[in-house]
Amino acid sequence: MKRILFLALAGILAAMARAEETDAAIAPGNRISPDDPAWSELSAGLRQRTAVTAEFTERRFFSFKKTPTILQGEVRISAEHGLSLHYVRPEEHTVIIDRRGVLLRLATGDSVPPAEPGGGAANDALLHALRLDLGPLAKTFDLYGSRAGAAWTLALVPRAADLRRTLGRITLGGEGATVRRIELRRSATQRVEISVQPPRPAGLFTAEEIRRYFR
Amino acid sequence: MTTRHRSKWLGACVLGAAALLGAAWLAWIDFPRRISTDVLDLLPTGERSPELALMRSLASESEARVMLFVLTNPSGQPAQPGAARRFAAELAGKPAFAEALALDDPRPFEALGRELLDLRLILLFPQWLRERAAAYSATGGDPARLPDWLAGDAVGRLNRFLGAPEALPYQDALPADPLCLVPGVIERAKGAMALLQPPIATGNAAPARVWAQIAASPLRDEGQQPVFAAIEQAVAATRREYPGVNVAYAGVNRFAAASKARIRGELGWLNVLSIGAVSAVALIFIRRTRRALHLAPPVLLAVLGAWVCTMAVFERVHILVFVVGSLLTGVAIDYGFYLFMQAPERPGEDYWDKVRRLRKPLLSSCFTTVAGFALLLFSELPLIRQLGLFVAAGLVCALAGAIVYFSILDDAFLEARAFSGLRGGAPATRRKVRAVLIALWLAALPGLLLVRWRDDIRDMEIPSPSVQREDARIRALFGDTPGQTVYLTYGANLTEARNALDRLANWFRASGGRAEFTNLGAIIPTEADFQAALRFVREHPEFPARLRSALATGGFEAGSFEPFFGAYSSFAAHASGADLDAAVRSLRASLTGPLSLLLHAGQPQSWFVTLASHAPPEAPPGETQTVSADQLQSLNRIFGRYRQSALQISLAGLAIVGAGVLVAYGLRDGVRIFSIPCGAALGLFGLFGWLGHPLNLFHVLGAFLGVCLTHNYSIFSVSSAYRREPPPVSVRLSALCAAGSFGVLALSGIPVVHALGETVAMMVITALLVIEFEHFSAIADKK
Repeated sequence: MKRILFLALAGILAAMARAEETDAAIAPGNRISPDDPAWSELSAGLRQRTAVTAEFTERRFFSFKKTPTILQGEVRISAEHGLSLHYVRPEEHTVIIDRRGVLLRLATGDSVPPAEPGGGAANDALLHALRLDLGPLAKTFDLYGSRAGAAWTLALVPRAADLRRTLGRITLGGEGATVRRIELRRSATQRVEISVQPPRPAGLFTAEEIRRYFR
Repeated sequence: MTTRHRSKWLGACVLGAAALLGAAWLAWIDFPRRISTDVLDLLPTGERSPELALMRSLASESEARVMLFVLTNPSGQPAQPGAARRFAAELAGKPAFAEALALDDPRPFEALGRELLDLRLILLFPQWLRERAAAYSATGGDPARLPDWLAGDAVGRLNRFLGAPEALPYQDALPADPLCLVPGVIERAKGAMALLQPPIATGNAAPARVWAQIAASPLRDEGQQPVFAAIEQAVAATRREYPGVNVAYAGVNRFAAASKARIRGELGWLNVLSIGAVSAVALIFIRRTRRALHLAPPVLLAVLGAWVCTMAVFERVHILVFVVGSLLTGVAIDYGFYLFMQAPERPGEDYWDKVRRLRKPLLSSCFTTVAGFALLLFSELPLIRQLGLFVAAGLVCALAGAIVYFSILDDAFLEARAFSGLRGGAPATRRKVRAVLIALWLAALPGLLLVRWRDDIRDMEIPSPSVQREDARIRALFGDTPGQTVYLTYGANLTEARNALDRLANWFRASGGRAEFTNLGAIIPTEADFQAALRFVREHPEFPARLRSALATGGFEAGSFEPFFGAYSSFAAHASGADLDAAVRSLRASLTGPLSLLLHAGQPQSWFVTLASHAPPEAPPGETQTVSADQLQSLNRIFGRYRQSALQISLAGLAIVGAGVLVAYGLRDGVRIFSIPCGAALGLFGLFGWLGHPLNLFHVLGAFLGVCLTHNYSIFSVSSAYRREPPPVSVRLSALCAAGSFGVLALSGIPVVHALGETVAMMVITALLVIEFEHFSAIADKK
């Protein structure tokens, strides 16, 4: 019941409520160690899903804008090829994050966006976090986790002050072996929320999908 | 002591003193500083054409100092990201390097972004205004409503930008830049940005790259071995942290060092072979070979005199002068042969009587040749001037040295071996051979119409295929593709150069091709655009309010954008024309790595670099004040010009030589004498034409040298013909020595040296054949 109330509240109260939620996620009592057995079990479940495709909605909150900018598309998570965010609206483009870094794919071709401070750490963190590989994450981040039934929240707080300043906090939320929410939060007014719909039933990615959405 | 003895002692003292003084003076010279292996030193410093001055400045100051490094791990895959930064840091700490930058290092981007943000209103706003005003104009809207339209347009574009991938990293700066000036310019100048992070093949990991600039010119010693040593140290230091990392690199200095090493090697073996060829000829034709060693002192004096004169006159002398000039020995030995091998006219003939008897052919041949080479001093090309002086001075010293040296010998006669049957058979046979030679010559002449010229500065160097392959591989990893053209747009100052850049852009657009180009024109406005922006901000003070209103209507917190409105207000109130120049200089100071090459602000030229793909094949028109930065192409064009200049000078020299002969020997004999060098040159070039053998500047120089040599043989032979004697054996010896030594040059790996050698050797052989088959018998018959 507590979990249902919490989710309902989260759904009704938009940005402010979500900020409070994530702040609660990093309460000292939620600190976890990378070898926590409960999270290892969850991690094993996530790793079994080697290919995930789902629709997502991304809300970008800017400090100078009253309402978020909303983008929609399809997310693909591959154990081998990384994370692919294929934005469909308002303009089509694909962001690929893998072990080699970030690749931006536009109709005009591929490009590597300029390196940004903390960008590499954020990418690595996302890739590990999507598989709940807590060991590598613990080297750079303090880990906070909370679970309520099948729902779980994992928050990553950079230990280094400059990384904390440039990257902020990364929070992932999910249900069972499914990631349903990703938040990159620099402050209450500067954050990106990605809400992931339940994954489509799918097997492995086809060669064509890998060519189009990964590198 | 008799007069004869006093004369000998005096001669010995004069020669000894001259040799000692010359050698001592040369020993005192700082050769590494005075002798250049720099190909650019072959071109004049005060070249009249601004494009060459520009090229030279660019080549020596910036571009040529660039070195590119690629780091890999032991399995050949790109090294770990940190390895490149570590290696760059090591290089940057070495005095041999002025700058080193790992291309995965975000700091240059951050610094450039900060600088652009600071200067956005001075540099970026004018072009934004021009483009947006043009877009508004295209709608046919009322000019008075431009500020309203601009405000609404800017907010719409800002909203769209927030959905772009770049919005997140740039969000902190947007309150100061709601017009998206910086993101806009980064999009426009993305080709330039690709210099820092060139696109990579999708399937490949990004290579670990380091861009560096060395402190000294790569064409000088200090830009080579100290640099290579510093690289070794940096690699060793990097391996301590990243074991097994490998570093491959490209740079002009690698070519220069390889070329220098091979030129030095050639200098050695060419001289050894040359001496060997001359010695072999001497052994065959001279009866008492040991006495032939007396031919060496005049030659050594000639070489010494040539070195002393050249080093005394020129501050820096190119090493090719000595490579080519070392074959002065083949010419200088002529006087010794002629003087030493002339039998006394009567038993007991005094040496000085023999000199007086031979002075006309000796002086005629020497001074006409010297006059011809002296004319090369008027050439524009330093190498030709230096070569002209080297040979002219060497020949004067050779003649003077030979005359004085043989005066100190007790017996100034070297007897040749007698070879029966060497005269080419019976008179009828010789006539037939002469007819065949003439027929061949006539057949060769139409080939002159087929002569092709190819002026390629790469012919100055010995090709190094392995270095070239490695260089191309590394440069490809840095985005340097063969289809890319680099242009330099210059002006007396930045304003002039920037205006010319607009004309270049118009030319690209008008060319109708699919040229894509990028340059700092995307960032730096023209003076006209800047002034238009100043007028706009002063004539439309309502624009900030309209923008605030549009932001609020568009869902933005208008108050968040105070950093922009404050800067805009200050710009409107205080900006002046001087701000643009200061901003450009400030921007230039913050450009690092490859971007630093895109702009040069200085005297006497300022220039912008434009990178273009699919560029039109023709050169940009003059009004664009733009030249292709393809140094090879430009230098080749200039070399072609010098070849024409050398050809003109050579023809003038030839006219002087010919006039000298006509004056000395009269019209009838003079024409016959002069027909040998001229005929040999024309016939040889005709043959090259038929063979499709491309010719260059050094074929022209070789022909000129060949004309002078064969002219000597002609004069020496005609003197014998007057006495109804066959050509003197000294001519045969001299010609074979010259053919041998220049034939050795034809073996050189340096294409231009090869060209010089083959031309002279073939001319000398042709002339010797003509002389041997009694070209001058007609003169003897009519006497």
